[in-house]
Amino acid sequence: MSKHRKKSAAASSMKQVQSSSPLASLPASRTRRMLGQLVGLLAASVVLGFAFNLSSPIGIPFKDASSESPSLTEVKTSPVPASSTVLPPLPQATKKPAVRQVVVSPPPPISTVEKPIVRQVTPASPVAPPVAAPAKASPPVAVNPSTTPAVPNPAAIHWADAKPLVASGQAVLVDVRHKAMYDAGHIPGALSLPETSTPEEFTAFLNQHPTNLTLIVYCSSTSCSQSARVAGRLVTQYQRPSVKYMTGGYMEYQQAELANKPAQPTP
Amino acid sequence: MTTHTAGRVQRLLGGLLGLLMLWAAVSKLANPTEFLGSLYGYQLPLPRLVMQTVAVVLPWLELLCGLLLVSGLWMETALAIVTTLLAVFVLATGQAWLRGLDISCGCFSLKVFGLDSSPGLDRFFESVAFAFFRNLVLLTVTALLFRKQLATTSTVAQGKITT
Repeated sequence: MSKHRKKSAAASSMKQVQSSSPLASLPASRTRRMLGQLVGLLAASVVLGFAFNLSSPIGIPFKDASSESPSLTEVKTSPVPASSTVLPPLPQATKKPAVRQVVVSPPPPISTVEKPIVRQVTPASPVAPPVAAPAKASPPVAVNPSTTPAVPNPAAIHWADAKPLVASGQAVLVDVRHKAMYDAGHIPGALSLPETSTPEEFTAFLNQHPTNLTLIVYCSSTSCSQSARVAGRLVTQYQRPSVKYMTGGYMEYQQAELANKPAQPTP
Repeated sequence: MTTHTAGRVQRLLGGLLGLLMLWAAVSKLANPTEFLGSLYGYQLPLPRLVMQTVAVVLPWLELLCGLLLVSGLWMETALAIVTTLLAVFVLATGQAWLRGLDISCGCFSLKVFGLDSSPGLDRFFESVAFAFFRNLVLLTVTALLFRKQLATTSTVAQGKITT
């Protein structure tokens, strides 16, 4: 008896819930129409998205780069200085023979841009002369990782200024975006050092590049902040004397190079 | 509040939500590779192809929903999609925040308006913690709007309200 009462009470409350729920009170035709619209919108988004992506010069490359995803250790042997004939999506670039002149690089550039860096670095590493040991990078000693100086301040640079530095071997490009982004496309000769790399990976990377070599860090575009953050870390935590970050990132490079070469087919 | 006023508020909120979606869409379309980078930053256990497809399709879905919300057409469907999207965004930013990932949420960009905010401000607005709470608020508003919209249309359909 009481069970029956409970059941009927539950049923009536269910009915109340159903009648109060707007979704349940929707007529079937309306639900069908909504589903149709939903499918239509999704299909339109897919079509528009892929059409736009294909036609856009800054679209996402869909080729599978997993087979040639160079790891940090592989990458270090293949820095190719960017020439004047570079193209945006360039997995082939990493396959080119290594040009190790980069390591035996000339003294730091004497351009005026260099001045502020030396000045800014001085307080962070007052004892370490930048040219002292070309083969060894300053280790990421636990100097004071927690208490980093207030304003780490490496210099900003544009692609137009970075390009000759890289081409002459005075600088090396460091791509700090996610590894998968690097694999999808990067500036030729750039090395991958994602911001999320471990301190050991940072050390290993830096040990392969003499301190007098300028590191030019870049991420996606003007609105990403990884490059500035990593550049700051390189100066303050790892005492790199010459670090720059490309403010426009990979996008600036793409735009500049695409504008330079309008109708050249990809080799 | 009269039904008429409530309807106006509902319409206004829908329009504002639409504008927000349009802003989000244009921010992503202006720099697809960066948006993809932000997606990778979430470190979700999804294949790369899925992430790439999301990066290509999502901005357009947001754009279409934004246009519908602003124009007042297909409101239920647009609100249903936006509610689902925001629920996913809440989960994605929430897990990133819990895992302590220091990433950019990849949601909005002031650059599309030609504005250049300071890196510090940019970092705060793009932080996952801020994005999580923002998405949570937006999800609540959108879910309420969706519910209201369904209630309105169903009662109109049943002839309880004459407009």
